[in-house]
Amino acid sequence: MKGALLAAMLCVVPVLAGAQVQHDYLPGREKVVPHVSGDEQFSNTYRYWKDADAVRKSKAAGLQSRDVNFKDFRWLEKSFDGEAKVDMGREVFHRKAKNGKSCASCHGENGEKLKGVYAKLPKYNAKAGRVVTGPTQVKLCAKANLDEDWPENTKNNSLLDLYVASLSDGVPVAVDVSKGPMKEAFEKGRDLYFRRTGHFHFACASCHTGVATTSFLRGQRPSTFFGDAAQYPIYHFPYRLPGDDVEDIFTLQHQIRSCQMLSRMLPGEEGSPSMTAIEVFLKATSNGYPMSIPTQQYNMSTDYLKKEAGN
Amino acid sequence: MANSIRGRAEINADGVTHIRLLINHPMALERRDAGGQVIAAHFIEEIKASHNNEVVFQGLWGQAVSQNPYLSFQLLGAKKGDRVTIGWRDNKGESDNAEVTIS
Repeated sequence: MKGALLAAMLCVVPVLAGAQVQHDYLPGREKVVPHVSGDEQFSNTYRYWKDADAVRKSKAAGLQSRDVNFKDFRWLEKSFDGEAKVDMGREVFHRKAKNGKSCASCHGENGEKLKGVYAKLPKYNAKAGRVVTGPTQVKLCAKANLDEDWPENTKNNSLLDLYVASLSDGVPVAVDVSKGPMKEAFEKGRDLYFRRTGHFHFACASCHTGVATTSFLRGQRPSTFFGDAAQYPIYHFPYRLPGDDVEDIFTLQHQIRSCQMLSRMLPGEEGSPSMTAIEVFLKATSNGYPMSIPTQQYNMSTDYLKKEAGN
Repeated sequence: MANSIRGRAEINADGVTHIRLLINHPMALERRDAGGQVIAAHFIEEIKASHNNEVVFQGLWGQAVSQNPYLSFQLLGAKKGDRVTIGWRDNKGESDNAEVTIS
């Protein structure tokens, strides 16, 4: 009886599958270019924060945080507490697995051979046959070479992701999305970013483009997407989402998931193709921006309050 | 530089030195395990900072201070290049110390 009902339902589906799902997109997709200077088409504040020097000059000239698209928060100071996490990552990197090898066995003491690599991630992994982000690359490498099980968003994986990223500190992001699977991922990620979804019918772009940026929204300070990926993985104290295995480290995959949860969207699985596509989009639109690891999300200094009060 | 204490000491234009420390320590509460046995607390009892052989900061801590404590304080009357010595001692008798140079 149940089988017959199921069969009847399955017969109906092919008819519906022919209909195209209509998506709602926020405007602006066509203005996106895979370089951080593309922000000129969005907030038009790029010249005030294009590097740490420009940020310092803007603040000295009296510009408030909202005038520099809130890009000042993570640039004026490296995270002191974040360094402790980088040290923990260094420890994991050099720790020997049961088969006697460690990450350092192939990648060199103190990650010698991995310097600058994170600035070029995500990229197409030929062995895996798809585009992968940092955490997924760590997972694949650890399984293949150390026989360790370190899925995305677990303690060892996130610590290693932070450590490897710290080896690219200061290197400008350089993700190539000009052709092939990377180009497809970039365009898919861009579309996902501007597509409304979930309970609130928000898109990522709802808060990260337009009037919401340069404003205070629910006590936070959304910024356009250009440039921010260069600071991930980020030290986000104090923060722990339900089910987290390690506190205070936010990889970019984790950040996307966190944002999705907060805006009532169905959160993606870290490392999945669509989440990877969003990360490709975010990283590529930060091309040219120097990486800065470890930085702290929401700089704990409250100097900006004194400034805005007119003191 | 000792293993458990990470520190920064920076002097500003007004002559005030800001010292920030991050200490690696479990700072565990007294608790019971699954079988009901008591696991003793393990926390830093005393922390001292000295400059020019004079104690400039002393903290008497208890279980309430949480894991990997962050401590910051300000110091007057120091100058660039001076050294500040920090030492802690916990309730199990372990201790550690480190030196931070003011920059």
